[in-house]
Amino acid sequence: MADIPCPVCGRPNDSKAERCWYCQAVLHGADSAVNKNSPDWLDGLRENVPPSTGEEPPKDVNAAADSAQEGIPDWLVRIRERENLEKGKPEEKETKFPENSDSEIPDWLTELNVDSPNEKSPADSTSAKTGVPPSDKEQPVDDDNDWLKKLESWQPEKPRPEEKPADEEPKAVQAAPPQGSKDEENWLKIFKEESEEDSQNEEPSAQPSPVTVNGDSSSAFLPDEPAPVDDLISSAEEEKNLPEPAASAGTVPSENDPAKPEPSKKNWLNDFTGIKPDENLAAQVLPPTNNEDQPKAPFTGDQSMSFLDEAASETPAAASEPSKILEPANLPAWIKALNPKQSEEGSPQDNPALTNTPFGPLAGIEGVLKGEELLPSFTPPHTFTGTIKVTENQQARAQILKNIADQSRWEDEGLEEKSRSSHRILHGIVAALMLLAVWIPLVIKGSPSVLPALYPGEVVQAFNTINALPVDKPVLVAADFDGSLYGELSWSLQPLLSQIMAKNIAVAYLSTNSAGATLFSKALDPLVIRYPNYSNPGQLVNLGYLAGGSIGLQSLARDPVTTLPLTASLQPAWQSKPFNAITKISDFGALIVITENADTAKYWIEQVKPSLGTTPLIVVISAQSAPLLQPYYDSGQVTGYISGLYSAVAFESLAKDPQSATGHLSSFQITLILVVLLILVGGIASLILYRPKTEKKPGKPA
Amino acid sequence: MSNAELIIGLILVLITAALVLTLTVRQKRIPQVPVFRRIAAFNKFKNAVNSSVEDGTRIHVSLGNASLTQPSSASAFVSLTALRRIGQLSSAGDNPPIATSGDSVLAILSQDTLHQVARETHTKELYDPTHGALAGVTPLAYVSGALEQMQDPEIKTNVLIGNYGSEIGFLSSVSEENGAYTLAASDSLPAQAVLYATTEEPLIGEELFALPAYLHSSPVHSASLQVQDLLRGLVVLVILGGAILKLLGVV
Amino acid sequence: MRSPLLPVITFIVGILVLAGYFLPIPALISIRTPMLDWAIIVSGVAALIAIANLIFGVHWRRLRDPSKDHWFSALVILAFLVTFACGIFFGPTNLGYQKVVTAIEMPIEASLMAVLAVTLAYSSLRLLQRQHNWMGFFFFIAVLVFLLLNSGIFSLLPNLPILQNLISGISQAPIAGARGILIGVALGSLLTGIRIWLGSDRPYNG
Repeated sequence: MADIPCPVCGRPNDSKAERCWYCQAVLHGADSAVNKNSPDWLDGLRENVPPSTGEEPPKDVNAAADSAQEGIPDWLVRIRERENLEKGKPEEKETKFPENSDSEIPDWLTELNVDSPNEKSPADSTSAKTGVPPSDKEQPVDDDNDWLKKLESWQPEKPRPEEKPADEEPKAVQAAPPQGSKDEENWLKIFKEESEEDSQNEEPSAQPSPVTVNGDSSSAFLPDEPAPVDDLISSAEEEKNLPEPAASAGTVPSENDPAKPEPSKKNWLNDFTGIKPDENLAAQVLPPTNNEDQPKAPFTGDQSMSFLDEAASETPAAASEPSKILEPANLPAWIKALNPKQSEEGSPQDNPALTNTPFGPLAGIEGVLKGEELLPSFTPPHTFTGTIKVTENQQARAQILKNIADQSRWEDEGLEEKSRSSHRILHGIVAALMLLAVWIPLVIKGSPSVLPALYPGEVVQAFNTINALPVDKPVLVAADFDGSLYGELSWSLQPLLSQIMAKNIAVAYLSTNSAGATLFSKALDPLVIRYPNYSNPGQLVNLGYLAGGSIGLQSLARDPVTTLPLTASLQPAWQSKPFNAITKISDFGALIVITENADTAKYWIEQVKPSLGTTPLIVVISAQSAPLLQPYYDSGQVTGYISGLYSAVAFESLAKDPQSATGHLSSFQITLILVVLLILVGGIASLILYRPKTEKKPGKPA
Repeated sequence: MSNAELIIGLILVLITAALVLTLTVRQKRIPQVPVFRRIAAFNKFKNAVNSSVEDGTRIHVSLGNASLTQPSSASAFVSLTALRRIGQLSSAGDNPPIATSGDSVLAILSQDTLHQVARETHTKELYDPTHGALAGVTPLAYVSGALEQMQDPEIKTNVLIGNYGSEIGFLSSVSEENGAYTLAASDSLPAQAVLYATTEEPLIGEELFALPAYLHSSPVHSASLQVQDLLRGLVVLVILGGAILKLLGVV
Repeated sequence: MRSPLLPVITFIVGILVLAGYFLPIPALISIRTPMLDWAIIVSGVAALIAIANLIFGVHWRRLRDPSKDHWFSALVILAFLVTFACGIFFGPTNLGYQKVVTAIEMPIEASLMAVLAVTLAYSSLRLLQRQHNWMGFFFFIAVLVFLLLNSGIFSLLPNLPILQNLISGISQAPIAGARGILIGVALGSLLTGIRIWLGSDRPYNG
C-alpha cells in the first residue's frame, strides 16, 4: 500500500500507521481510525478547533519559507502551512470535525469539562506540541469543560532533576492513550492517581514558558514547561470530541481534589491570530502562563515533569514573562562540590557561555554550551604545513632569550679576560726583556762574553775528523732540518762547511724532508761567496729529496747510486768526478747529518752507520737534542757532533776562524742569564704566592 | 747487525706477540680487569670527556706529525686508538671530536677513524670529513693550524698525543690559557720536558702507550700493557745484571 | 661487521717484512723491498691527497661559510696555487724559486720559534704554580742548573777541579734519564707494532 505522508514533518509512513513514526503526529489517512479507536483526546482537539481568527491574514507557504530562512523552526513552518491550508478549506475541516461526535468523547473528559464550560481549548498550543491542526472553536465544548476544570485542579509539581526530563519527555510522548475503551479507563485511573500525588505538591511552579536563550525563543519548538491548563480547558470546550487520553499528557485532577481556582477564562487559542516572526514565537505559540492559575503541563501527567514546576516556582518573577531563561537547578551541595569549576565560576548563569538553551533536546538544562552559536563558528579543520611559521612576536622573544644567553657568556668572558690580560702583560714584559738582552749586546760592540776555556770532546773530534778528510773523496751531507732552527744550525754548520770548502772537498747533499735541501743551499750561499773556487761545477751536487724516511735510508745505505740516480735537476748524479767513484755509501769520505731532531739523527745512525764502515759520521744537531746523541757518541757510532751555539763557538775557536757564532755569543750568554734570573724570581714568587685551588676543610669532601 | 742479534730480536718479537695473545685470551675467559697504578691525568681526562658531553662542548685531538713510515709512528697509532675511544665515549654528545694531524697519511686515517666511530655509534649525521684534517706539513705549520682549531670556543678539552717537538709548548700554553683541560703526551723527550712546564698533568715516558689500556678500549690493550711492564722489568734485570757483570769483570 | 680480510693482509705483510728484516734471505728481501717501495709511494700520494683536502676541503669550505669571515683561507688557497704553479713551471731547483720560498718560509718559522722561546721562558716562571710538588721543585732546579751550564759561564772558573768534575757528572744525568725514557718508549712502540701486526688495533677501516 502507498505510504502516508506525515502532515507535520512530511516523512513517509506506513499506510497502516496511525501516527507518524518520526514526530508522532496523527496521520491523515488514519485519522478516522484514530478517531474511532484511539482514545487520544488530542485528535478531537485537532479536528474541532476552529481556525484562528487572527488579524493578520494567513500566510502562504512562501511566507513560511521566508520565515524559516529567518531562523524559524520547521515545526512552526508546518503549522503555518497547515493553517493556510485549513483556512483555505474550512469546510473540509468542518467535515472532519463532526466526525468527532460527542458520542466519542469519553466520559471523563466530559466530566472535566463541566467546570469550564466557557473556556476554549488552547488548540494552538496543543497543535504546536503534537502537530495536530488547531481544533475548531465552534465545536461544542460544554462537555469538555468538566475535565478541563478538573485539570485546573492539577497542581504543578516541583521541577524534577535535569536527568529526568530526557527520560520523562519520552514518557510523556509515549504516554499515548492506550487504544480501546477499556484501556481508556485504565490509564485514566492511573492519571487520577498521579494527579493526587501531584496535588500534594503545593509549591507553585513557574509558568511553563518556552525556554529561551537570551530572550530569543524563535527556535523553540518544544516548551519545557507544560501549557496552562486553563487554555487547554478553554480549547476543550470548543471541541466536540475530547480524546480520552488527554489526561495522560498531564495530570488529571481527581474529583476529590480540593477546589482549584478556576482557570482563566481566556482562551488564547481563540486569540491566536497568527505567528509574528518578529515577536517571540514561543510566546505566540504557547499559551500564556499565570502563576495564579498554576498551570500544569497537559502532556506530563506524572511527577517526572515536576522539576519544571519547581523551577518555575523558584523564580516566579521570571516565570511571569513568557520568555524567560529558566533558573538554574538547585543542585545539591555534593554535586556542586564535584564540579570545582562551577563552584569557582559561580552559577552557570554567570558564565555567558553556559546558559540555558531555549530549544533543542537540551532545553532547560543548565550549563549547556550554546550549540547554535557553534554552527557559525564552525570552521574546517586547520591544515598544517611542514614549515614552521614563526611570528614576529616569537622572533622577538627568541632574540631576547639569545641576548640573555650571550650576556651570560659575556660575563664569563669578562672574568677570563681579566686574567688573560694580566698574563699577557707579564708575557709581554718577559718578551721585552729577552729582546733587549739579545739586541743590546749586538748593538754595543765589545760586549762581554765568556769564551769556552775547555772544548767539548765531541767538538774536538768533529774538528779533527773534518781536518783529516781526504780531498778526493766527496762528503755526503744529509740536510734534515727545517726553517725553525735554521738560525741555530747555521751557526754550527758554517764553520764546518767552511773547513770543507777550504779544502775543496766535493759535497753531495740530500734531504729526507722536502725543505732541507733548499735550506742547505741557502746556507751555502755566503760560503760560496767566501770561497769562489768552490763554485766550480761538479763540486756541489744536489741529490734532492729522499722519500720514505728511515725506509729510504735503508735503501740509500744499501745502494745510493740506485736509490738516487739523478740530481734534483734530473741530471745524472754519479757520472762526473769525483762522484763517479761512488758505488756504495762507504765510498764517501764522511757522512754529515744536520738535523734538529734527535730521532732523525737516530735513524741515520741506526740505518746507515752499519753500512758506513770506517767512514766517519758527524752530526750537527740542535742543543735540545744533544743529550740524546751523547750515548751514540760514547758508543763510537758518532765520531763527533756539534750541538748549539756554544759548541759552534768552540769549533770556531779550534779552527781559529771566528764567524757568526762567536759574534752572537755575548747575546746568547746574557739572554740565558736573564732567563735564569727570571725563572728564579718567578719560582720564588710562585712559592710565596701559591694558593691551592681547593682548600680542604675538615668534614667536607674535596 | 750480526746474525745473532737479528735472531735474538726476532725471537723477542715472537715471544712478545705470544704473551700478548695469551694474556688477551686469559682476560676474555676470566673477565677480570687488571689493576694498574693510578694515573691522575687519566681520571681527570675521563671526567673531562663526561663534562664535554654534558656541556655540549667539543674535544680536540691533536695526533702529532709522525709519519707512518717512521719508527715514531707508534705514537701515531696510539693517538688513533685514543681518538677512536674518545669518539666512542663522547658519542652521546652532540659534538663529535675533531682531529688535527701533521702528516698526510695520519690525516686520512683520522678521517677513517672518525667515520668508523660514527658508524659504530649510529651518529653518521654528525660525521663531517673535515673534522679530521691535515693542519700543516711542517711541525710549526701544523702547530699553527692546530692553534686555529683550538681557538674555537666550543672546544674545552684538548688531547695532544703523538710525536711532537718543543713546538708543543704553543699548544699546551694556549690550551691552558683558554681554560680547557689538556691531556698531553709525546714520545719525544724535549716535548715531554716542555709539557711538564706548561701543563698540570703531563704524561711522561711510556705513559703515552698506556692510554688505550686506561681508557678501557679492549682487553688486548690491557694485555699489551701488562706485557710491556714485564718486558720493562726484564730490561731492568738485564741492565743490572750487565752492570754487575761489568763490575765483576766478567763481561 | 668488520671485514677480516684486511687484518689477514696486515698479518701476512707484517710477517714478510719482519722476516725480511731479521732473516737476511734474498728471497725475503726481494719481497720486502718492493713492499716498502709501495708504502713510500702510497704515502706520497696520500700526502698529495691530504694537501688537496686541506686546501680545497677545509679552506675552501671555510670560504663558503657565510657565518664567519675567513679571509686568511683565501690567502692560503691563493698562496698554494701560486707556489704550486711556479714550482711546476720553474722547477723546484730553480734558484729564484728557492729564494722566494725560503725567504717566506724561514722568517715565519724562525719567528714562531722565537715566540716559543719567550713562551717557554714565561711558562718556566710559573712552573712551581703548576707543579707544586717535589718533582716540580727538582725540575725547577734542573732548569736553572742546565741553563747556566749551557751558557758557558762556568768557563770563568776553569781551574776548579771539583767544579769541572761536577759539571761533567751533572751533564751525564739527563743522558741516563733520557735513556730510561727512551727504553720505555721503545717497548711501547714494540707492543703497539705487535698489536697492529696481529690486527687487534685497526686504525684502518674494515
